Parts: sequence; structure tokens; C-alpha cells
Amino acid sequence: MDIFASDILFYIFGALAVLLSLMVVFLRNPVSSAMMMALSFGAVAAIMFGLGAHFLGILQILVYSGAIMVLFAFIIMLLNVKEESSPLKNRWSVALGVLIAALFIGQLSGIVFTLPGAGEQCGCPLANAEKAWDDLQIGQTTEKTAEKTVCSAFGNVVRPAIQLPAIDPALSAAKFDKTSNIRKEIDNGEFPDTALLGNTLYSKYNRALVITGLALLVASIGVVVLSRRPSGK
Amino acid sequence: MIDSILTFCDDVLSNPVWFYVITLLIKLVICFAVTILFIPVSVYIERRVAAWIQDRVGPNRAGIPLTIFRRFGAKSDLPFKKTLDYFGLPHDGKIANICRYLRLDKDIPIFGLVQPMVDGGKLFLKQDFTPPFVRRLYFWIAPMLVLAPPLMTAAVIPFAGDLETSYGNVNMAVANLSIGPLWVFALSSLSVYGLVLAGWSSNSKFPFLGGVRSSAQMISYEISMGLSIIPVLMIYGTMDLSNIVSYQADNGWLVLPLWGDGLSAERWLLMIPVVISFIIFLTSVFAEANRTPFDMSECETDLVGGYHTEYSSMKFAQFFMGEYAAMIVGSALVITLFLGGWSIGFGIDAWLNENVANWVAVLCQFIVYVLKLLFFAFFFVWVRWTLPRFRYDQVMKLGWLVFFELAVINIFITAAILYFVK
Repeated sequence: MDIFASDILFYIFGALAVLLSLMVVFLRNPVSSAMMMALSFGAVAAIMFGLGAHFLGILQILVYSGAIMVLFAFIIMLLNVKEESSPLKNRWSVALGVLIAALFIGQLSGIVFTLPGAGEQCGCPLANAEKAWDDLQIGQTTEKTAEKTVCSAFGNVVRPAIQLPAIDPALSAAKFDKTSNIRKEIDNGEFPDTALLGNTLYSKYNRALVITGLALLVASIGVVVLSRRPSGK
Repeated sequence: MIDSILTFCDDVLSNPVWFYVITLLIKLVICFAVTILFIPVSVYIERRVAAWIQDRVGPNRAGIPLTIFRRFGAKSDLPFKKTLDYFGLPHDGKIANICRYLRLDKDIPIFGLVQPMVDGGKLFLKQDFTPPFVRRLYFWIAPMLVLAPPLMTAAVIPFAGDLETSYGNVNMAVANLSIGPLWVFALSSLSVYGLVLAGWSSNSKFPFLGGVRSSAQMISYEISMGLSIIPVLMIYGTMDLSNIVSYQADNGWLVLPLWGDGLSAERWLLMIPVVISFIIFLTSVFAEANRTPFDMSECETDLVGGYHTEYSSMKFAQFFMGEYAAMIVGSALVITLFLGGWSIGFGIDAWLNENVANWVAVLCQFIVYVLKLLFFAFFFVWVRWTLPRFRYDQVMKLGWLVFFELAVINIFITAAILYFVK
């Protein structure tokens, strides 16, 4: 039975993220809630680090904990929001909240149960990530990948590998140019998470990225225009 | 006995996991010691250079007083003469004259280093007073939140080249992450919480204003700092700080491309965006570390004292340790990205690698890195006594209307040069 430190850390940080998110809701002091939210972002970032997605994890801290939550805390302090005294009494708004949460959980579970390897007992998500990383490796034959056993945090039975959607290593090797950074990093035995993310964003989702960027630009110009005092006054 | 210990050490080091853990711990101690030691050192440099620039004698003259020798000699005379008597030396002999020439006739100065030591002791021993009206939990957490992030960010910065041992190569950064600069930005953006919470939890007006001012400033300059670094990363094509430094060691520092591939026309054309980036980044480091001319948060004439007005003793000192640590890490990042990190430059690195033992080369590189840090500690004080403090609206205008736009334009200039000139 193999238990990796990364598996244990995954469960610790997962539990922390859930716990801290619950505290965001249950704490009465708005500033405490904001701080708990920043911490829970940190826990989520730690999970991303464990999955090998360093870039995403650090963006989580940089953007959410470091920028957005600071602004939240800032506004709470500036407006001097007092402690919330009474819980919500309106029955309809509670019902609406429950409905939205149920919808969200439904969608989330739909995704979780269709993930590769969801039916397997080898349930650690980190195993899936390691498998995906193995598939990227160059020079590995397809048969070998299929036979390769994956870490099982629970149960000492050695199980066959999780069936991921076929990523042929030969294909994935050929996909990247020999001079490209991604290929170089893979050859060095590193996981090129930043370069892969950039590659996907700027090729597959290029149009969506540009449209999102333009929408944000329009929004920020709109904010400036709306918040500016009329000069004629 | 000794043989068995040596075999044991050999066995332990041969295991890659143990080797990794042991080298990691050693690197951690070195990195932490350099950062922590640089805090009192930069305080010392600050006072010395300030005195030198202002042409006054300055503080840090305290030494070990000769009066501690009083009990040894006669009570009637000066301490110097008593000391001479104690050692049985004539009052105007050769040794006495040399001592007088070296100004050892009052105390033993040891470069005034007694002063920072006693300063630190004073801060530890002062009464730690928590006012009754503060929000206690956040009041206690805030100084830690200011000091901890800069100390953590130092982990990704390589302080020497790779050390080759018989058990494997050791990379001289505590955590050799592939996202080095982002790690520094992410963690230093967390220290804003410290300032905001300190201002808010003090529960009085002026600290709150100080906290709001400094956090607004830090958020504004984080943007130009992050944008100014993008052209640099485009040129390197990697975010791995170890690779960045070894590239500069081979091909010329980014702002000083004088050897290797650095002599190509492309690199010299790229100097335009690089210099713009360098200036924006350096200025943003000043603003992020709350140093003059950007020390809005502790501008005493406006704000009594700033976000730390209600603090005392070591909690008060922690804010300033955080400021100095941010300054050190900021200058380490400037050095790593623009000034070749640990590389000695001018092709000496390659020469050292061929001609001397690897550990000598690594030691030289470490010394050069520390010297560069010392230069920046001097540079920060130099700027402090050269430029007057900005007004707050000027700070905001510079950040949002000049640096932000300039950094964005700079990205396009770099992209154009990289795309068309190849």
C-alpha cells in the first residue's frame, strides 16, 4: 500500500478549504469572513500545487488572495460594516439560496462522476494527475502506459491504470516542435504547466480569450466614465 | 569509530531523498541567515551612509567603553590612563600614542556595531503595550503578516551557481520553482494584509488612514511591477530564475550585454524596452517596500506615525524588519532579473568553471551576490537622501498615469522587436 505525502497533503488541504469556506459563511464579523476566504483560496492553491499546476496555484494566490480579497477587506473596513446581527428571516430568499446551491452541486457532481477514473476505487485525484503526466512523457509506448500501475492511497490491491481519454505519447511528442519550450521542458523531466496552459489558451481558446479581454477593457472604461465627476459642475 | 561515522554519512548522502533533505535544510539556513542578517546590516548601512551624505558624524559611534576597566586601576584618573596603568604601559609611550591616533582612548569602537546590537536588545526588552481599544487578534497578527511574506519570498532566488558534489548537483535556490518571479509577487502581495489589518485593528483614526494610504499605494505599484516584468520574461522565454541567471552569466547581464551573445544587434536593440522595464521595476520596488521617496505610510508630518502608531516594542520593530526584508528581497529580484544574479560577469564565470574547483567558483559567486545586495542597500539610502518625498497625489499619478501605460506600451515594443528582428 503506497501512501504518498502528496496524497495526505491533498486531503489535509481539501478539508481545510471546506472548513474555511464554511467559516466564511458562519463567522459574524465581516472582516473575519474576508480573511477566512483569503485563507481558503490559499488552501485551494496548495491543492493546485500538489497537482503540479504551479502556475495556476500561484495565480490563485496572486489574483484572489492578493488582489481581490484585499479590495474586499479594504471596502469592508472603509465602509466600517458592523457585525451582522440577525440571520436572514425571509423564507423565499433562503429557498432561493438552497435552490442555487443544489443546482451548483448537481452540475459539479455531474462533472466529478464523469471524470476519467471516477469509477475506480483508486480515488486519489493526485493519481489521475500523475497518470496524465505520465502520458505526456516522450518515448513511452501506449501499451506500457496502459499497464502502468497507479498509486492507490486506499486498498493494497494493485489495480490496472485508469483509462484516460487516449493521449498517444507519440502524438503528444509530435504535437510540440523540437525547439519549443514545452518540448524542452518535457525533455528535462519537468512538467511544463505554464507553457502548456499558455499554448492551450492562445491556440484552442484564443478567440474566447480575446473576447473576454475586450469585455474586461470595456468594463473598466465604463467604471472610469461612471465614477468620474461631470466636469461642468 | 570515525570510519563508521564516515560510512554512515556516506550512506545517508547516497540516498537521493536524504541528500535532497539535508542540502535543502542547509540552503534554508543560509538563505534565511542572509536575509535576517541583512536587516540589521542595512539598518547600519542606512545610518552610516546617511551620516556620510549629510556630512555629519552620525549615530553608531558607541563602542565598548573603557570604563569597564575602572575597577582595575586607580580611581583618580581618566579611564584611558587607568587602563594603561592596569596593563603596565607608560602614559605617553608608543602604544599609548598609537591608541590615541586610532581614537581608542575613550572606547573600543568596533565600527559602531555596538549600537545596532543594543538597539535590538532595547526593542526586545521594552514594554509591549497593547492599548485597550484595539481589536486584539488582528492587532497581534498584523506585524507577523508584514514580516513573514518577504522572508518566504527569498526562497526562490538563487544565490550561487550549481554546486557539484559526488552525490549529485545542488541547485543553490531553496525552492527552484519554475514560476520564480510570480511566487515573489504573489507572496509580497499578501503583506498588504498586514498593513490594512494593522491600520484597521488599531481602531483609531490616524493609523487607519496610514493603513489605507499604504495599501492603496502597494496595490497600485504591484500592477506596474507585474507589467514591467513581462518584457523581461519575453526576452528570457522562461520564468525559472536559475535558468535566467545562468543565461545572463553566459550571454551578458540584461542591462549590460557585453559578452557572449549579448553583443548581437538584437540584444542592443532590446536595451530600449529593457531599460524602461528596469526603471519602472526599480521604482516599484521602492514603492512596494515603502521606502523614501514613497514612504507615504509612515509620513510622520501627515499621520502622527502611520499604521503602526499604536504599536510598541518588538511588534513595532517587526513592521520595520518587514520593510527592510521587502527592500532586500526586492533588490535581490532586481539583481536576479536585470543584473545577472550571482554571476560575476565579463566572462569570468566561464573562466572560473574551467580553471578552479567548483566549490571555489560557487563561493566567489555567492560573495559577488552578497556584494551586489550590499550595493543595493547603499543605493536605497542614496536615493533616500537625494530625492524629496512625493506628495500622495503625485505617487498615485506616477503609478497609474505614467508607469502603467508605459509598461503596457513596453510590452508591445518588446514583442515587435522580438518578432521582426531575428
